Amino acid sequence: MTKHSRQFHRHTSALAGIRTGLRIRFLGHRSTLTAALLWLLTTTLCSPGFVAEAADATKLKLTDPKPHQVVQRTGTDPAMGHADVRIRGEFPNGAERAEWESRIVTLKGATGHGADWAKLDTTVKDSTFEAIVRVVAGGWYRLEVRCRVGDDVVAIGQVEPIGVGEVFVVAGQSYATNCNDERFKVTAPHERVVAFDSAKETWAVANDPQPTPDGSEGGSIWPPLGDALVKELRVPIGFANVAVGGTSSMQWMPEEKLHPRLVQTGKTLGRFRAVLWQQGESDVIAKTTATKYFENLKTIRETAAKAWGFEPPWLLAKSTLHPTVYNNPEGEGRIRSAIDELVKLPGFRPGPDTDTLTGENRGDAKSRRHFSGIGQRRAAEMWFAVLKRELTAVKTTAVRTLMFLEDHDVLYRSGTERVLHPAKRPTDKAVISQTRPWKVAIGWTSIHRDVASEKYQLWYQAYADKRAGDKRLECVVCCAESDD
Amino acid sequence: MNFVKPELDLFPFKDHVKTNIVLIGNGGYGNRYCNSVLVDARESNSARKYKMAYYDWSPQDGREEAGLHVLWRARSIFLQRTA
Repeated sequence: MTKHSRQFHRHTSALAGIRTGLRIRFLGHRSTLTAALLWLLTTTLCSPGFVAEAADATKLKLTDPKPHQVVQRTGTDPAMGHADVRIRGEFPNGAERAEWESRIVTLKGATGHGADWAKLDTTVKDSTFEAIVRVVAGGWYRLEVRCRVGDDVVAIGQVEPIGVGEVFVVAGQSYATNCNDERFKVTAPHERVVAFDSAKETWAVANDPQPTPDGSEGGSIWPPLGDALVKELRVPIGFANVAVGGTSSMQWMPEEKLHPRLVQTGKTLGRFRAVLWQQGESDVIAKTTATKYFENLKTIRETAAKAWGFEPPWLLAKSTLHPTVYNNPEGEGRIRSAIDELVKLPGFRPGPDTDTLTGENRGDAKSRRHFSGIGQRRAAEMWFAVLKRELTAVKTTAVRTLMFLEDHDVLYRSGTERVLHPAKRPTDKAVISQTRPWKVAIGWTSIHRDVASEKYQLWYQAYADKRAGDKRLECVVCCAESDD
Repeated sequence: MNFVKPELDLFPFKDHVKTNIVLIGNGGYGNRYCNSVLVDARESNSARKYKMAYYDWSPQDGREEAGLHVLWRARSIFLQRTA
């Protein structure tokens, strides 16, 4: 008998003990109250429909999702949508014949709702298992997974907290990292703003400093942005920040060392809402031409999208101002004009113009020389406005079909092309012709498809004028029906 | 698309006993312009589910006045004139 099968044998023995009341003696409790409680527990566990968890059930090790992980949801409405959350773990011996189940438990203050124990279709390979469970948008949640044989739970595991909400990849340079003056903490209730550490592949509350690869240790703009998004969207928010201070667009090109981290982070996340690109200062310094910046960003995005297998939008901040280092309106203008051209392409969209944050929004030469605390907050507000617009735009395109499109229906249209689909005549002949003497002329019409008959019902004005010979019949309303 | 004009017994026109006319004038001034039909799914009175609005003239205080008029009906084709 192997170690694990002996362990499995002990599970069933323990369960038998519970059922026969021996558990009381086993635990060594002698008080009447304790005995009564244990009797109640025993009776309850033995009732039909209950599954007993053995006291020494094997601990099921879950490797995914990770604590504090946020999984990108579908949909954009506040507190709406869902995600198919991938579960991975180590397969316990003794569970070969087990049935797998999972449930979602809401934690204190959670949005969304949980789900009771339900069968989990699990793929087992070697010593690991994998499954998908659908979770509604919200959190925090606790995910529990168990294997049982009959009514006996032989292994159980859990991970908490996890959430289903909005996930963003942050890339760029110093203004996107922790090079700003004030360190912020997450203030959203239950700390529902988290950050992914691309080096450790772990998640944690997104208090500054963010887990960026450059090791910067100051403050960022992301905690206040996350707080605002949680309040607006009522789902947890996750940032995966791979920005590195002092990097130009050239250093993000596919053959350079920053690109693989960007790609790998996106792959690890699976899905995310958008890339938040806050970069440009190093290209001003490097005198990158507008054409070159345009081509670089286009290549970076296209290569990453190909690797990810989907095309999240890239929201491009205008981030070219760096007053403690240079004053170069011409160079800044080159990068800004390149961004203006990029956002006309599919896949790019305008982010905030943080170059407008001057004066008190910037730290001086004695500070960290990037955004001041006020500037960080304002940059976060600007990103929030952009993301709110972005999610509204997604909603517009996802759920509405505009048959007769007016410009006021288009929130913004960078990278879009107007395509006109002219209406087609089903026939060249009139569908209602003036065939009767009371129809010398046909005018106003009204049409309706009847739900019951499924016929198109038409009412139309027919005009006969004096030919009618009866004033009441000079102008009448007629009807007709059609199957299609 | 093939619209069929029903042969109704509502309003004869000269020697045509059956016509597809569903609404005629009151004998005074006016024309039945701009008809528009609304199927009101939320109407609690089932007799008023179908509503037609149209422009016409009607007698008021001994003379004819123009305005928007309304008909309603439980079923679609035969709309009744309001009181």
